[in-house]
Amino acid sequence: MNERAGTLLARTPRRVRVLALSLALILLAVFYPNYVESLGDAAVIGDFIPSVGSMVVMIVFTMMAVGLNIVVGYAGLLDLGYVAFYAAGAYTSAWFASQQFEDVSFHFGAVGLRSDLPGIHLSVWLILLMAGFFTLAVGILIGLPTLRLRGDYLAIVTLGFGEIIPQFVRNADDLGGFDLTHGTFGISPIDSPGFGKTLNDVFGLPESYQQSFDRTKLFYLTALVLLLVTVFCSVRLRDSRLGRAWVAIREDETAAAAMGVPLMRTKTWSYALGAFFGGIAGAFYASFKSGAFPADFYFNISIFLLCMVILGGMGSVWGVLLGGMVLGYLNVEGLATIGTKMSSAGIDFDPTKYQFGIYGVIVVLMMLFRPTGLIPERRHKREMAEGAHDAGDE
Amino acid sequence: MSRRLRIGVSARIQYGDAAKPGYLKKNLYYLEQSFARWLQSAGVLVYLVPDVVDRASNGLTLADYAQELDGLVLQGGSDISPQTYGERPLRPEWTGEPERDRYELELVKRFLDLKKPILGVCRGQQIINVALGGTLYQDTATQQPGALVHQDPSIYDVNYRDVPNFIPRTDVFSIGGVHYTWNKLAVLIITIPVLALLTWFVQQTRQGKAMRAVAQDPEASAIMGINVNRTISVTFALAGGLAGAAGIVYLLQFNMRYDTGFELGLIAFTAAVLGGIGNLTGAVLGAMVIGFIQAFNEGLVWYAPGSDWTRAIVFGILIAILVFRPEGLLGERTPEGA
Repeated sequence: MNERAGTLLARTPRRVRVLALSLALILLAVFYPNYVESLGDAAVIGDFIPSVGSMVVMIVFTMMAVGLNIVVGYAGLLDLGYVAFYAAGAYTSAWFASQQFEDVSFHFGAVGLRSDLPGIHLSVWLILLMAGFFTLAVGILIGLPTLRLRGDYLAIVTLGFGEIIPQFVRNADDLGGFDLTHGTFGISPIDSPGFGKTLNDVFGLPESYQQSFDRTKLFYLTALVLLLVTVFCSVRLRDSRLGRAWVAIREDETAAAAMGVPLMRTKTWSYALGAFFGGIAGAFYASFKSGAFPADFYFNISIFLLCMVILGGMGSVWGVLLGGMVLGYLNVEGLATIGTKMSSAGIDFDPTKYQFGIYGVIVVLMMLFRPTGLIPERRHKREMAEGAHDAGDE
Repeated sequence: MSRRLRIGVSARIQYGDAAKPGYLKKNLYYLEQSFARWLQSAGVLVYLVPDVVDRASNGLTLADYAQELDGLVLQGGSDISPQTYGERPLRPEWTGEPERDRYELELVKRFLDLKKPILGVCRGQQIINVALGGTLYQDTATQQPGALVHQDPSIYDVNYRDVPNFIPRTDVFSIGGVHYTWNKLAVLIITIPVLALLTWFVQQTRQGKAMRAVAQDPEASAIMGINVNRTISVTFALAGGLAGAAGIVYLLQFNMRYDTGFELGLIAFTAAVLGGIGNLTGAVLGAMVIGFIQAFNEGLVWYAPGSDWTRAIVFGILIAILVFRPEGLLGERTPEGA
């Protein structure tokens, strides 16, 4: 960088710089499906470029990590059972956009289906919202009795819910003879989103993703929009009155309470809003995969999401975005690609077998060398720099 | 208690093997060792039931075996032959062992005639299905895309190791058919002194005192001259040692997989919180409570939901207790826990 450009950069206000950078990133992301092919042909790095389908999965998981960040990063409540919200969202999709309930036939805004198909089929857009609010309700239900607890106790209770909900899902195929979740088989297929015939005729919007040739690309763009909305909400929440109350609770619960922050209500909100985004991500992912299976909701996922948050930087939205994309990439494609490279180089080592070991090592190394994460939250960074952090108080 | 139960096991067949001198063309009936062990662990007598060929048996039939035995277990093996349920193999190599099918079907029917219990393992379940008139997909992987992988050799077979019973599984005493064996007693013999030792260590020694001080307030203990990091290291080493001992004790009784420790760790954490963190007696009590819940839930199958729901029940109770008594069963109210 030459000197003039340097001063120019320094003179621009921070806000403009952030905005310009965000816009550039968004543009890069929006056109990703268009240039991914030519990138894939590039030398050396070509093989490491994730496909559009992998990007969808990465984005969905990043979205969940951003949601989890509200609970863990902003409000400082350790949640080891976030996978429960993912499950709640996924099953909302499964109940209202599949043939699970064969006895009824109810259609509302569903696209690309025969109108006499049994089961409940609502528009997937509506379901995304429903999933958000259903999961928000689940979050409040879980939060109300448990958020009085602190530290280890809260962690174990959330872990408990994270275990109960998947087990419920796995076994709820015979609740007094009623098949709610179809047990271990899960529910599939699930309808896909789309804009219907009218909007297709007028604006040329795709009628149904499933029947489109660009299925993956459409899902990708939708995921991107959802992620952007999540990030936007997350940033706005952070800077709101509620967000400042969360940070206050995180830093010192007793002092916050003394200053008049209502502890229970504020914590419950963080739980509910964190759950909201997890639910939407879960519902969307179920629609993308066209299925919801109990085997997807292991404890591992909760920890994996937590790793994303820790790696990126607790409380920092940009950090969590980066952490989510990095770990998501390694999980979906990266490790497998590295494994192929290694085996073609004659090294007999399959990193995908050791995936959780590798993530564990990454997190431990981060804790040792950069405990505030890849892109630390500003407040956190200052604390570390000044040594003002109160070591005795978690 | 009258006599021990007698359980018949259908034979697997090893066909003549050109590589084995002495058995180049002879067939073998065989029984997997772990099958016998598992069945024997319930205190039953295990019998291998070979096929009976009518013309060479002097009137003996498989029905006679069914008459004498109390139950039947069907071993696993290759998929049942499609011909047996009236289909043609989709691929030539899927012909299976029609001879073994015929023999096992016959065996199942004879036990069914007498309404005696049958347990099928893997292939055995296919046999039961066909014996009762069912058909099968010939190959799940090709005919039902998206199905779970049935056999994962890395956990199922390749890495299977046999652990010697270094404490014999013979009876210490038995009351009315309930057998109390040495390996079960060994659990108590090991656990009780270890717990006593730990209690003494934490409550009586200098190091134990330092540990409790650090738990209460690391900064204040540092000021008092306690080496906080060393204390933490000692605590971790101690915890690791105890977990190792628990692993050995567990192995006296059960099988282990690579992820057994995860399950147990989760339960151990739960037990410690349930009892009240920092309270040794509480941890023991918490573990006992969880153990009993688990045992009653999985044992009393007519009254309880069964093992499918164990985790949900354990964690459900845990949550209920913590909500109403956040400090745990025996814990004291601390700012952390309240």
